[in-house]
Amino acid sequence: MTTTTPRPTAVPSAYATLTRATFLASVRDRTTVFFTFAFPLVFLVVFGLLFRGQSVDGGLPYINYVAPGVLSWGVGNAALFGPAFALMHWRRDDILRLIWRTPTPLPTVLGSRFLVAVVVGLSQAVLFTAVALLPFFGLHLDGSWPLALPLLVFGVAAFLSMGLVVGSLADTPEAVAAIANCVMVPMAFLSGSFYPADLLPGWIRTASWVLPLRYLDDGLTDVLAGRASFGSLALDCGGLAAFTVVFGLIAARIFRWSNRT
Amino acid sequence: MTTGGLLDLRPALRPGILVGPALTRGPAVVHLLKDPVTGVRMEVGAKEHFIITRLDGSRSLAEIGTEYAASFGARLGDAQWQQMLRLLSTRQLLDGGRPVAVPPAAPADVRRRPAGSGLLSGSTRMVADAPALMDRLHGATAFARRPAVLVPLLVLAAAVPVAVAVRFGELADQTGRLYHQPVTLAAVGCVLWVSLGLHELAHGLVARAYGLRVGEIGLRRVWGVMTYLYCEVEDVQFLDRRGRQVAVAVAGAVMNLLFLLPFWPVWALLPDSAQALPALGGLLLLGTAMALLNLVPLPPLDGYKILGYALGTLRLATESRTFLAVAAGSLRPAKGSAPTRGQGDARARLRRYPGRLRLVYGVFALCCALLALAVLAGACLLCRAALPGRWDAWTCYLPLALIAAALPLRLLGLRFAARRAASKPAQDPPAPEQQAPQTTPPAPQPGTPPQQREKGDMKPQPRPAGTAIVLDGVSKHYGEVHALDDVSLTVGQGEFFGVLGPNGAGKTTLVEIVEGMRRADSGTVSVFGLSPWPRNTALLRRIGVQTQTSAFFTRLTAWEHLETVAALQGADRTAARHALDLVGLAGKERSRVDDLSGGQRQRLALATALVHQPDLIFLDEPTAALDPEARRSLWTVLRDLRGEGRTIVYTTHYLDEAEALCDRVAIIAGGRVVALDSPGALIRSMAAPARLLVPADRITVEQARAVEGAERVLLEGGEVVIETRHANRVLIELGALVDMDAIQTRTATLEDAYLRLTASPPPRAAGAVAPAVGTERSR
Repeated sequence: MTTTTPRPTAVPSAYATLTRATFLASVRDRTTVFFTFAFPLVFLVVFGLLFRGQSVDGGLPYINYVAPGVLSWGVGNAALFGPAFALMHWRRDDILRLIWRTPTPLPTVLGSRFLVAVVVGLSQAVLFTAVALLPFFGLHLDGSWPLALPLLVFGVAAFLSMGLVVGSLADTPEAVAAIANCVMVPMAFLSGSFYPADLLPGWIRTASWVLPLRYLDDGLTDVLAGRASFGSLALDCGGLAAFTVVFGLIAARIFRWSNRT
Repeated sequence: MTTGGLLDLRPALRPGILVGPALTRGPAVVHLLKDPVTGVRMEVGAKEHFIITRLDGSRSLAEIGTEYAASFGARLGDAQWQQMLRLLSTRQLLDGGRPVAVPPAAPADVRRRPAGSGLLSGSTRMVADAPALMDRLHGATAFARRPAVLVPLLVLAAAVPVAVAVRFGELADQTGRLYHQPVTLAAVGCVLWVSLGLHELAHGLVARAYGLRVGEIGLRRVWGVMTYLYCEVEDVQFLDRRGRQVAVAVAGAVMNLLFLLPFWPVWALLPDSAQALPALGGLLLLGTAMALLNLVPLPPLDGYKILGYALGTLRLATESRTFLAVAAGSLRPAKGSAPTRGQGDARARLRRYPGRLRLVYGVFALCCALLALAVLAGACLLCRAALPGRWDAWTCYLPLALIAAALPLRLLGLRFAARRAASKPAQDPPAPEQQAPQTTPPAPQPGTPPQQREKGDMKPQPRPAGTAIVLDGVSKHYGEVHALDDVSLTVGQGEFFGVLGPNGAGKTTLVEIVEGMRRADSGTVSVFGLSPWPRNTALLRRIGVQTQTSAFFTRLTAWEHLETVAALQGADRTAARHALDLVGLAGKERSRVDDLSGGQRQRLALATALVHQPDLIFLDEPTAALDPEARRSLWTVLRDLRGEGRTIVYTTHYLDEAEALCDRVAIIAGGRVVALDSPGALIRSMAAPARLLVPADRITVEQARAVEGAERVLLEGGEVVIETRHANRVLIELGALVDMDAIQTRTATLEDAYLRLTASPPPRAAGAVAPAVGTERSR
């Protein structure tokens, strides 16, 4: 996706070049790359060992809850943290001002960021599912798995827009980490990412539908278990799209080109 | 030696200095003083306070001395006055008409960031402009400050603990059940965490309502396990009424109780079988407990602050401990028949405490001891109830054992820290000498025509075809600060235009208004005949701005960065190569931007500005980090650019550079153009006077004024400063009055002249250039 298509004109497109710059910046940060892919796997190993071979009463095997849960948490985490850090850095280092001075519009910048986040999310999903499919963990994939792709794209969009809010609020890396963790950790627990959502107390389960991670988690669980209907999938995607719009509007409200007032 | 002159002085306190009401610290009465500009806080005694509050510029020191003698029954000698003035002067408390120097590491910041702010512990600022946020919240909560709303709210808040006490049995039972549902307990914890955040905001809001400033809102981390919001309120103890101080401190707990109000009816109305009952019951009980615990008068808690404010004491706990030590020392039975010396001292110190203070400190110490015992007993009982019963008889002694183990460790730690502090050498760097080299002062040449250029042959006079920038009466305010104040100037096409001025003079704002990033409050701006505001992409294509040296795309190489910028600008592939070659970075194109040296970053920033071949180029100190050779080679690049007909606006701190490169120079200070002319003319007109320094006890201000040739006489930090353009003549005259060795001479340099011109807006020394400004205005 970097420079694969040489364009006929001498002027390269701003979108392609920005996407390449964003992609290179992401890939060259080895530590972040490692944790983006390794963290969900660590959780998979931990919970996979804990609940190995068990099933929820009247439900699915544990791994069918834990794998999509941890995967949705990992994808959401990466899609939130990456853009939040980048936005904060770009504003702090005046790269946003540099962009402001060029004729390139802001949607181009965000579009390139979105493309990179989707690619990262899909790579995470492929690696994670490949490991979870090992006989040791015993995940069984239903034939309807391609339905997970639109879900992941919508999920990345929702968490990317949250990341933009966080990146606009915070002025330092510490603040990004603090806010993003405050958002993600309670959400992961309340959405049932690390244990079956069906085991949560009823009212928490009901209340958790105000959290975007719940939609992604629910959709992925249904798709991987093969119990997804078109209606439930549309509901999950719609929920994520609604969160994208809400957080996108908030981000647009509080977006700043520069830290200097 | 006469000091009659000293007592005739009528010094005034700088306006805006905050002086707090009387407080007690130990046996002494003190007042807090705060300098709002530097953020420095200090404590002064009652006598100093008496003098400071009377320094209003209308009373002379002699008059204040008389009042002082009437109040305290003692006269102040000359030495004491001098010491006092010197102290006030070094603390920058006196109104000297000079800008206040903010120390590089403002003590306010040092105080705010304790050592060890790392990943696990420390604090993080969350709101970029906390005062502005509080202003908005203040406006939004105006309804709650009406008595008709406030009184019922306070009554309801007070009713919550009563209601909780009435139904304590049920609530406690439900809270107990909660402990078997860890997930729900975590949820309750989250809700209470939010309540704590609101608690902090409530402090800030009440403080704001009383006109105090909220410094910072952020998150604090403690050992990586706990994070909580904080809201820093400044200067509570400067509020004139103690009731208000207490209100600020008590607001948090009230907010915690108010937060619980909506949960009460839900809890009361739910049927007994409801699943959410333990969660709500636990929330109510734990929330109320949290609010009330915060009112316990122990040091980090709000209750301690409330008590301190109500009693008007500073550092109540520390002073109470000191008092106890003194009291114990005076009571200790002597080992001989006669009282020992230490005992006598202690008795004398004890007598300095008035009766009321003895009561306050004594009762506080007693309360603390009782509270500590209660906490310990509670902890013992809790351990017994909570821990498994295998070691039944021993569990209740666990807290005692823990304390017994912790105390020696703490003592050891303290001793170790003391030893380390003692072995570390004192690190006070010697103050840099401000002695200027002795040179003859440049003679002022007001008669020289400004048009006569020193390097006219090197730079052909351009007669620009048109204008690049026209500013007419442009002003910009940020709140109270006038960043730009009625600035008018014109930059011709093809001109090399220098902008000089101290940091914060408005240079950045000027550039930002010209490129259209900010809108001027008033006045008109036109660039190549177009208005830059709102963002005008057609214009931006023609403007190149040198960025900060950090504004490079993260983790790219120099080449990749330039390629990206070129694509953003819509320039073709050869543009990046061209810009890289132009600034002489061709060998470094494969280096990551983070690995470049300071000079290389500077060049890359320049290339970033030039990549799309703009007609108007803004450069901000482009040679700051370069070695002399690189600087010269960059000069060549800049001259070539100008030779191509591009307009360059150039900010720099190097006066020699401005002289070598610029066609014209504008000096900006305090948001105004204080001078605008060709460099040569400016240098000639900026002749500044020399300064002669005589210790204040050798000569009076009046005597100094009487010396022929003295233009201005000031009293600065215990020295009488005489400014003159005829240093030799004044020196000879002074020699008759004072010992020559006591006189220090500081002669004017070019930098002095520049500093003098930028120190206070429209200075007299700029007389020769004023007409130039005038002609710019009249366009």
